Amino acid sequence: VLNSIYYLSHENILDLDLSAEAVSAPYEHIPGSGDPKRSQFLLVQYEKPELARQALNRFHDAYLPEYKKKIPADTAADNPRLFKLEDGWLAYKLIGKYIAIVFECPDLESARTILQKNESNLLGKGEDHET
Amino acid sequence: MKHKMPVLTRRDFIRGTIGVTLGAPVFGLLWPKGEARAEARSLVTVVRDKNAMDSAKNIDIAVLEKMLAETLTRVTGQKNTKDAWLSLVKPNDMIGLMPTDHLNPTHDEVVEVVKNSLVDAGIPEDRIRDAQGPRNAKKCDALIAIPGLKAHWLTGIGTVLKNYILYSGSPSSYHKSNSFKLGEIWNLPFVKGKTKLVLVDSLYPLCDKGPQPDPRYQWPYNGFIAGTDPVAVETVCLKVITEKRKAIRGELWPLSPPPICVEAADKLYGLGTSRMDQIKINHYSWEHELLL
Repeated sequence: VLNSIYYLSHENILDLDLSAEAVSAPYEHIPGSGDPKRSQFLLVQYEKPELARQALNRFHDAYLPEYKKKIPADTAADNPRLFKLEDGWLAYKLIGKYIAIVFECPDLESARTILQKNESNLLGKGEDHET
Repeated sequence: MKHKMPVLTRRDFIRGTIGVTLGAPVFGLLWPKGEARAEARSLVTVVRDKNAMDSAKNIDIAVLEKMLAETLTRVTGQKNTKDAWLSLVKPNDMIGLMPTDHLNPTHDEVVEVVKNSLVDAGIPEDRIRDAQGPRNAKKCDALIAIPGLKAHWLTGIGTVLKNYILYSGSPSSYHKSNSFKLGEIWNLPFVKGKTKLVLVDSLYPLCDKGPQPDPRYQWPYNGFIAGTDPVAVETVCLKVITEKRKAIRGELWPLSPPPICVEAADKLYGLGTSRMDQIKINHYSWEHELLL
């Protein structure tokens, strides 16, 4: 289903199964970027934090194989990881049992901001931030 | 978890490294044939006539004949239909016509007009046959692909590249995530190099996938999309479908499964170009909702 919204891979590189839930949304006309291109935000909720961490590991291995992996067990207080790719900036963050990823950002700052805002919203809605 | 196949991701399509990721030895193919002719521009001709069909979808054969003649001379650069055909095929060739018979089938009228045009060009009628079917290409010297323009629920787009799926002998091996391999069928020994013209019946396309044709997603485009580069023709067809979907929804409405076969046919199988900047589109006649 995700691939019909935003194609990532012919493999299930985010370990999505029936226990996972996800939302995806495009960001258009990002203020200050001067770039009309849209970015794509993806938030996936797994059953347990450990499953989210494993899925993020798999995603990193498949999608960012040339980058050294650094995904700690708990990233509650960690900064997102940011990568300059062919189609713009990609950022991801593990937030408890959630993975937040933003694709095709015009710059580093907008990638960081999109993740931060969504994380704030998520935590503000009472996410049981498991550690 | 171990995976037998390398993981192909969005980044491979963006970088054009599908072949590198999958590895040429996996399929025993030379990589990258596509790069060798990267500078060449492929011509795709779009000929449309608003009178090709009436509101009840009855086809006007005379208009169709004119559209075919226009298409042939524009694609080949020849002065008339006969010279155009004879620049593509030889009079003693066994010519296989390859219409599509599923989902959004090629109109019978289109097949008939093509056949009559070949006969008028001097090709004996008994040298023209239906080549659709598992082994039928083996008996042919030349193939004329005449698919109907459509999206497809198993391959994203189901027009040009998928048209030869029965030649594989194993169609289900080319569905969904494996649809990127559709191009390899065109390189089978009894298929390779035989396709002389791709003429897409774009009279009444289907822009959503099925499995049953949904009339909400069909519309009168009244055209032929044609060329000798199957990947370039497919790329233009994909553009038309994509733009129509966008027009229907008011925003990007991606195909599912994604039409990964198109770029793979270029980058991995070297069948033609999937880059719009390497495709020259020549459009004639009806401008309404061209979608290009």
